[in-house]
Amino acid sequence: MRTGEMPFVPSKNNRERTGFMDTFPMEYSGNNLGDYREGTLAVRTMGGHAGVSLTYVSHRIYDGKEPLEGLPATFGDKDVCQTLEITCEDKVLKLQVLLSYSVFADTDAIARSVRIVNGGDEAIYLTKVLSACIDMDNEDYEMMTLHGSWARERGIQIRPIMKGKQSVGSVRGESSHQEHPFVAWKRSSTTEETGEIYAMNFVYSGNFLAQMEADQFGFIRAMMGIHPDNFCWKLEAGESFQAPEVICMYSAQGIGGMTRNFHDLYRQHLIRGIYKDRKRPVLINNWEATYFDFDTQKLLEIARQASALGIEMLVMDDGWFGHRDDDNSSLGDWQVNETKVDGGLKYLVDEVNKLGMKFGIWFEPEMISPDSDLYRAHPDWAIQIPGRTASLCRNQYVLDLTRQEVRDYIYDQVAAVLRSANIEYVKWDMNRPLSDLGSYGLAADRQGELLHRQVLALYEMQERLISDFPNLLLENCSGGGARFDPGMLYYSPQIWCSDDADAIERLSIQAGTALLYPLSTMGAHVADCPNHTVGRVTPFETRGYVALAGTFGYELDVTKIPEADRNQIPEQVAMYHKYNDLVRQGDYYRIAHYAQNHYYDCYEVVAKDKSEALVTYIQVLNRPNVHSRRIHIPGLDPDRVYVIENTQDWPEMEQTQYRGDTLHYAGMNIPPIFDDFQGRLLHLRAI
Amino acid sequence: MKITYHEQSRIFKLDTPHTSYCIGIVDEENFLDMFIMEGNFQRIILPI
Repeated sequence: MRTGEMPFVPSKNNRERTGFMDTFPMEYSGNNLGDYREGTLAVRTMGGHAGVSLTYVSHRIYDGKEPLEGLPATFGDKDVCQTLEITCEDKVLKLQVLLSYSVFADTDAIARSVRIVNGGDEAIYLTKVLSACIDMDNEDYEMMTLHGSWARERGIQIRPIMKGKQSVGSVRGESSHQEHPFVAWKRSSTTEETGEIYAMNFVYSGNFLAQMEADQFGFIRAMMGIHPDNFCWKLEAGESFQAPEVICMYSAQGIGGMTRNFHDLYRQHLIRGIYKDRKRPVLINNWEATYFDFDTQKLLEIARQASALGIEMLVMDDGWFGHRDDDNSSLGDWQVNETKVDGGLKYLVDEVNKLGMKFGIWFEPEMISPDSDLYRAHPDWAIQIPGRTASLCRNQYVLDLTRQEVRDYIYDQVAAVLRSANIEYVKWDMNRPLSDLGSYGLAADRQGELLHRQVLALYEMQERLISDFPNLLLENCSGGGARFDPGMLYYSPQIWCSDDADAIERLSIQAGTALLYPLSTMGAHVADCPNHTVGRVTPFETRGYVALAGTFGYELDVTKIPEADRNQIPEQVAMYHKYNDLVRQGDYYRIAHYAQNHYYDCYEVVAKDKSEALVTYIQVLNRPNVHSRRIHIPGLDPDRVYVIENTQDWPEMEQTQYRGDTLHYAGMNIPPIFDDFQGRLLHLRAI
Repeated sequence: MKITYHEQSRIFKLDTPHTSYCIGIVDEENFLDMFIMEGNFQRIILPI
């Protein structure tokens, strides 16, 4: 606290009050009263004024953590979690701001959130409510963020923090393919396993802003919350507004330490349901096998072969409802198309169950096609601005879920399908961002609430779904990975990582995703080749190794792939069952990233008790005239001896023994491998 | 894991297994000051 130096505190030097406000490291900053840095809270009174400044009033400390109304949030019992709630107030506005901080016994995270209460006697407009702010000295920090696009989500980017503001955000109504609700700042000397790093991750699935600001004095302000663009919330007297949660993380064990902290937090304190700690069934999805061109017999052919190979669940993807034979119609008409699903859905599911397989199904509940019975009956149910022709994307509109009757109608349609047969898995898709923001259900002075209300509605529907169907395995998806965020993980233990399932593209996508999220959450499949997105041909074996770092499954027509590939499936399924407990529960270490070195990728999962580890090595490009490649394997018990198993083509390495410290500090040599896109799996077992 | 409030220094200290985060109440107007978040929290001995 630099309160003993110029400009001093206001009680000593009120003639320089703005100087104080503009340099003081604010815990939660206001607006328009002298702090010229970006503020976390902004308001507009009924008189049109905008000033707000907060000071401490009271606090309470309690064991455990209260849920956030209508929002996803971390949780913790009284014996593993404690919460501080500080009440602040703007005394002029009579606006109370409750700052909440929760700490956990088992992970180095602080969960922060903000609740605004209008204690005045007239309404006030909230024009910005961010959830967290951290002011600190800039010690030559670099900013780390995640960027991408459809089919290439969450690439890691590191850049210097320059003077002024630099931010990432989404104004698409979803957390987005393009940028991610995450920001970290680290010293330039911080490495994968050493050095300091600070981070924020937003437990929210809609618009967000994550910003770093380096000010005139060498201080930085990091902030995160709902993006203020197109946000304006009318708060009536006596009402409250709950802003979503931000996870603040610190690690002195480098980027990898931050990663493992996030993984532990989300596994223990965010993900819920019966599959939270459970191995997921190996599924086969018919999307890349058939696209819209399927019928009952085709699906049963796939199921019969898949079942014989050890695959445990068939997922029927898009195209089973209305008259949807391409992506131009029927979203909103969630009635089974019995021309394609001949014999009916129950017959199909029963037949799949008779094969010993579970059955799953695809929905896109938030959408409506112009060519649908629903749209013809209720054109006003689409999000749109009156008087404008709404903008299409993938030839569809977004349903206005802020309206209770729309939510109820869609939910009832979905629930009726799920109740009609033994359906044990749902893939909940969302294939376009929001635009043309307008709602026939909201008053003129509440149109600025649409985006946040839409996210709250999504959460309400998914909470209802998992409450009504507690044994359901829910996998979220958004054109691949446009909504892979902690908010959605609160409802579904896994999320489809990306529509690009090419094994080599997936190395980067999964590395960026695993920067924050446990491997147990990453939807990953062995897909068809040549790959449908990039045309690349990779060995079936390599595709299996890469998918093993996620939920594991298949995205191909098992009746049409080469016999040599098909014959590998039982072995791959066995590999999944052998290693999934370790992959799902272990500590993740990045060893080498081909996006940086251009030739190979390597990562490792170590059991919590360090009794075993699994190292995945992918040689992306071969090089001529090279020697073996040295890799260092961290995270092992330095005093234990590990035997190397499962070395496939390297019989000379099988049963080789090394001490943990040798593998970490001296490393081991990976023999040269001929050809590109080759993978190897090394299992290390402590003896 | 522990959250404490030190009356004399008017500082909240939030301890996780390996880190600390401190918030101070400053001056007569009770401004809230975020002033430290880092590891080795044993180094931070209250009152400051």
